[in-house]
Amino acid sequence: MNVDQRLIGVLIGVVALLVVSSGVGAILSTRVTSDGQRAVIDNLNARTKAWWIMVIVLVIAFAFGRVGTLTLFAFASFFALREFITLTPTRAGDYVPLLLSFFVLLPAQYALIGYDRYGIFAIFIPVYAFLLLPTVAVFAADTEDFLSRCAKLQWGVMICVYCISYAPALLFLRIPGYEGSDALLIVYLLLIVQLSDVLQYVFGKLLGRTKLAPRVSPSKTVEGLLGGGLSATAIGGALFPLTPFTFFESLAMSFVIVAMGFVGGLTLSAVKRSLGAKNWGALIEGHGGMLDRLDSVSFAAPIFFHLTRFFFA
Amino acid sequence: MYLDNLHRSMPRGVLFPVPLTCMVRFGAPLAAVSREGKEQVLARARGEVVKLSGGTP
Repeated sequence: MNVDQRLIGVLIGVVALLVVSSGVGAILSTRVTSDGQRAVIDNLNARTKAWWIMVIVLVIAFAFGRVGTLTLFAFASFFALREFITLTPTRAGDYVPLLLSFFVLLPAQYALIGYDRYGIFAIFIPVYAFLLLPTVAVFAADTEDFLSRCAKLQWGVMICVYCISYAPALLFLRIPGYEGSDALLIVYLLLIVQLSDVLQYVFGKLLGRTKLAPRVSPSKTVEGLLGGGLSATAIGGALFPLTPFTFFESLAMSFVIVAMGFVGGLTLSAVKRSLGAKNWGALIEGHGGMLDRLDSVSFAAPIFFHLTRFFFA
Repeated sequence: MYLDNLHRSMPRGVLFPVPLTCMVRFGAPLAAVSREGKEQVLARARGEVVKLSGGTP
C-alpha cells in the first residue's frame, strides 16, 4: 500500500516535529527569567500540548476513512458555528433559523458531501440556505435589525459550515492517476495551512519587529508573515510527492493556500473584534477556540478545492 | 446566580435549546440584614444579579 506509506511518512514527520517542539519548550521553561517570557513559554507549551491532542484526533478520524473524516469536520463546524453565534447578538426571533442552521443545514451539507452530490453541496448554502433562513426568520415578525441579523447568521453558516466543509470534500475529488490517494490531499492542505500559521507565529516571536495590522490582529508581524509564509510555501513545494501536482504546481498551490490562510486569519480576526472579542472561545488550550484554529482553513479550503477540481480533476 | 446567554439559547416557550455557550455565574451569598423589608431585600438581590450579568438594569 503505497498511499498508506506516504501517510505514515507524514505522520512520522509531524510527530518528530511535536517531539522537538515539546523538548524545546521544556528546555526553555527551565531558563525563563522574566514574567513576560514565562507567559510566552507557557503559551507555547500549551499550544504544543493542544497540537498533540489535535493530531491524535485527526489520526483517529482518518483511520475511520471518509465517514470518520466527515464526522470530525462536521463536529468542528458545529463547534465553530457555536462560537460564532455565541459572539453574535441574536434575538428571540432568530430561534428557528438558528436551530435550522445547527441541526438541519449543517448535517445536510456534510451528508451531501458524503453522498458525493457536488452539484448540490456546492450551492446548497449559498443558494438554498441563503433564501431559506431569512424566509423562516420573517415569520417571527421581528423587524428590528432584520437585515443585519440575517446577514450575520448567513456569514456564520458560510464560514463555519460551507467553507470548512470543503476540506473533507477533497476526499471526493476524482483526479486521474490519483485514485485512492485522496486522503493525502486533505493532509496536504491541513499541513500547509497549519504549518504556515505555526511558522508565522515562530518567526513573529523570534524576529517580529514591524506590526502588520496592529488594529486587526496585534500579534501579526511583517517578519512573521514573510518568514513563515515563504518557508511554508517552500515546504509545500517539497511535499509534491503527496499530491497529483508537479513541484512547481505544488509550489504555486501552497502559495495560494498560505495566502488564503493568511487573509482568512486576518479577516476573521476583524470579524471577531467587530463582535468585541479577542478569542473565539476557550475550547483549545493556548489557541483560543475552534475558529481561532480553523479561520485560515475556512478561506484556504474552498479555493484549494476549486483550483484542484478545475485544473486537475 | 445569573444564567448568561440562556435567553438566547432557549427563548421563552421553546422545547429545544440552540447550542450556544452559556455560563452560570454564582455571586456571594446575600447576608441577612435585620429589620429590612421585603421590598429592600428583593431590590438588593436584584442589584446583585444585575452586577453578575455585567450589564445595566
